[in-house]
Amino acid sequence: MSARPFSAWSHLLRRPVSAAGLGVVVLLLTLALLGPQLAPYGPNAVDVTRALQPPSMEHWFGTDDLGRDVLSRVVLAARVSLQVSLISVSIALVVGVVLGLVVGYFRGWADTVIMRVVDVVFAFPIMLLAIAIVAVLGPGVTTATVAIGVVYVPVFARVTRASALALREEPYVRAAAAIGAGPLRIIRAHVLPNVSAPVIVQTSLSLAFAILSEAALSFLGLGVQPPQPSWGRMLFDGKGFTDAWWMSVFPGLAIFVTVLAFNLVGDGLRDVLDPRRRSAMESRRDR
Amino acid sequence: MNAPGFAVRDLTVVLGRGKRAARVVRGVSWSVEAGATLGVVGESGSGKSMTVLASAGLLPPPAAVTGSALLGGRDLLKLSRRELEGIRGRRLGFVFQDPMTSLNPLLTVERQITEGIEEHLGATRRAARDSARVLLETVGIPDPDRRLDAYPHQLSGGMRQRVMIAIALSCGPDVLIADEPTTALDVTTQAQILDLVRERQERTGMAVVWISHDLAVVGGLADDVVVMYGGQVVEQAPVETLHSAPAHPYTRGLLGARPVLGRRRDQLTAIPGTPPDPRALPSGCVFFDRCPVKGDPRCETQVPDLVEVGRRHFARTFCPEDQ
Amino acid sequence: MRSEPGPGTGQDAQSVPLLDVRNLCVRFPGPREGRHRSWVHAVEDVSFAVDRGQTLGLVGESGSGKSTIGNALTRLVPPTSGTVHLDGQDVLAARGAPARELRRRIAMVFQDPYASLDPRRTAGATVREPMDVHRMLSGRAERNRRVAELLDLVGLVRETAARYPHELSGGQRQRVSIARALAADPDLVVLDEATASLDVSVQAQIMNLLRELQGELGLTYLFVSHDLAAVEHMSHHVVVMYLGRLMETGTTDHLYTRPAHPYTQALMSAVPDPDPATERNRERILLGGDPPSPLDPPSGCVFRTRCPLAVDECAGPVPQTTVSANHFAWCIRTGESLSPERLRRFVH
Repeated sequence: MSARPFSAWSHLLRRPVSAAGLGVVVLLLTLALLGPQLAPYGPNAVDVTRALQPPSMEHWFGTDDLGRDVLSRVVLAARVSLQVSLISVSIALVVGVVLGLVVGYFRGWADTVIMRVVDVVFAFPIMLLAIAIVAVLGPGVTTATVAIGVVYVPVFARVTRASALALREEPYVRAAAAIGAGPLRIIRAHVLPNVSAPVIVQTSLSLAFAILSEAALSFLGLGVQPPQPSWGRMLFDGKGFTDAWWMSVFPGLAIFVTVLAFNLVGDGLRDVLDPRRRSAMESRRDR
Repeated sequence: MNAPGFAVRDLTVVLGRGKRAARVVRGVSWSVEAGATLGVVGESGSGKSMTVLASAGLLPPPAAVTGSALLGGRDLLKLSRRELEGIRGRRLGFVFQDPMTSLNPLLTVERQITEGIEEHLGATRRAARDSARVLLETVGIPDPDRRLDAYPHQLSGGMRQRVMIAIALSCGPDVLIADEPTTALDVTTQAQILDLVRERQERTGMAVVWISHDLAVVGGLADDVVVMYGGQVVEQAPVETLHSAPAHPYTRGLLGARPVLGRRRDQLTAIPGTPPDPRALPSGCVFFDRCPVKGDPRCETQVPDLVEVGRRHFARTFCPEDQ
Repeated sequence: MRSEPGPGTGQDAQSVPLLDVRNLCVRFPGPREGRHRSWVHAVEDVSFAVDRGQTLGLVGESGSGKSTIGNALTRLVPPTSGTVHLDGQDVLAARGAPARELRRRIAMVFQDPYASLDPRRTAGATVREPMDVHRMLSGRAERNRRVAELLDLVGLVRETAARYPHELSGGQRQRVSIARALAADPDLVVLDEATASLDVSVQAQIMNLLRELQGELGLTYLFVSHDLAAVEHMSHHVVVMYLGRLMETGTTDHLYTRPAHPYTQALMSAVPDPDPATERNRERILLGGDPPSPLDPPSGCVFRTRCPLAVDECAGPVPQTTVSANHFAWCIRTGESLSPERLRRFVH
């Protein structure tokens, strides 16, 4: 085995499963960006005469109760759904990881106070919190994004803190302290990389839940406003029409594929970022 | 031979399959008679612990074990799981290195000792408690009545290891297998434990297999010593012979590598390099890479047999003479 | 004017010892009982000094406080009281840049060579880290060149720099740890059970390497270990500790040939001898029971609850008694005949 320069992406692409996940993510991002150019119909092209049609050559995914093309709406909803989930999870990730690192590494009174606050937020029903935020920002996509982000901060803070607490007792962290490294350097160089595995797993999970949370908020009129489509919104709208299965199955499928793709990429990242797993993979492949 | 001793014959353990298969134990044979002590010495990865774990059926299924392990004329490797469970704890007592992880943190000391007594000897709860108290006394735990109700975390490391020994001795085993039982302990506690085992053995005549990385620990305890390296027995001899006339270059290296109290030297004779990978064993002598002698052309290409080099003294080397 | 350096630690009034520890106390908060907070007396009133280029062995069993001293010197735990001077400079009082400089000059090697290396960093990054932290040399390229030199120095091939800890053997990992300790060009290296978790044959490699490096670089070692034979092999002076207190100190030759404190004697007699003939015929001083809790140490001499020679007066103040030049014991019965015959009578 020779030492070669390491790039996470090249390692990721060499794993078929991760590469497939990455491919789907790229596809989804393309949809989000080029949706309007790709959709066969307008998202809000109402045609009541063609309402509730099952999938056909004309309408691959069928039409909804207002005669709108489901495929077009699924394609156009990609943007808002991905936007809300990615941004809200990024907010939660950054704030939660920083909080978790700081309180987990330093402990002390800040730990007690911040973790109590986190517990309170954790115990708060997401809807109540969202309503409070709506009162300040007014309903809309931004509100939904911020509300979901805030709600997921405690999840990331807890995961990170638990790992950081364990890591501060690790001899290699003590070894770094013994050579005179300051706390910031220790956190950046030794603690952060080693908390990444549980955080990455949590990120994949949260992305999935964020899409669903957005649906719930939109359903209550607190998130995406009709007639703008979002996957979650469509899923909710479709549940009154049990005979028109295509109204909920296709947006549901879109959520499923997205979540799966994020999970595959997340698992792959966790593995390629860990030198121990990486060489286990290499030695398997070398045979 | 009337009282049963313990013997393994041609024991082999392979972990994993195909190219990743690790041959961690390769044709190991040794025996210990009742009332005698066998020391098994080797470094990490030598296969010394694997040998005894495999012989008692304590390795989980992915491990492929062949050969035999004889206790009182019965081959343990041919027994069903149920039959084995009737023998482990009853006729084979075990003590492991880490007394903390070997004890159940949620059970009192009493419960952990009486479990085996009730299970194997069919004793009543009360009778079992009485024998547990006597056992704690014999292993040198003061105030046994109070200790019976203690949980493992309330005891010191030495105390826990005494409890482990009490459990191992609880059913009067024919064989005590001790796998590095003093490695995690302080030297003064180690002395206490060594003394305790010696004294119990004199009284009960059980056979003892004592596994250690340290030749010195085994020196005062064992009658015979087996030295393992790379999954094989490389030397076997009475303990005095092994110390005064070690025949295998590895044994000589081990003896020279350890500083000895009261005998200062400028340099320790270190053995260069590291033990072999059980997944990629050399074709010749397993010690070849690190050997300072390499005194025979066959060393590199041929695995030496375990040959008799003196009275009850065997070595797996082409160069048994000191060169 | 030239003065001959004295033979022992702090012997020569004119030479300042490299490391001078005085009346060091380290206490940790223990469990709270009601409003009363108990304290773990990890290190109590410990003083010793080490001359440049020498090795001081710090020996004791678990709970003796020997590792806590190493941790206090590298500022991993805060001392409660006492002073530590390195080359005449007050280590504990220093702040800012001088404190960082003093930190650079005290390095440490830990026991577990796997756990003390960050699994996500290459050996090269690990060895380079002290130089990065202390902004030594100019630029990464020069530091990497130095990393290669350091790897050479500890007997590793340069390619090791690109390896991760899990790809290395225990002995190689400990060599990486040693290279890291040397990277900041320290004066004092604290070796905290640095050979304890290695195989016997590898222990010898590492001990030989440490002694070679000391000769080459003029390093000063604090060799913290529970292994009496290893301490004897490595050290010029020895400090024996029990339950956070000094029991006995002296030059290695004196202390090992004429141990004066009953604890030191018991400790030495507990070490098994590899020669089975010697081992079987020797008289062992077996200590009963376990060390008392550091939360509630006995008054007076802390060893008296297990000491075969204990008398009522042992509960009183413990004097420092001189056994011979540079050899001291903290025991009121020092100097009495502590022959094995006599000890045996107390045991049986």
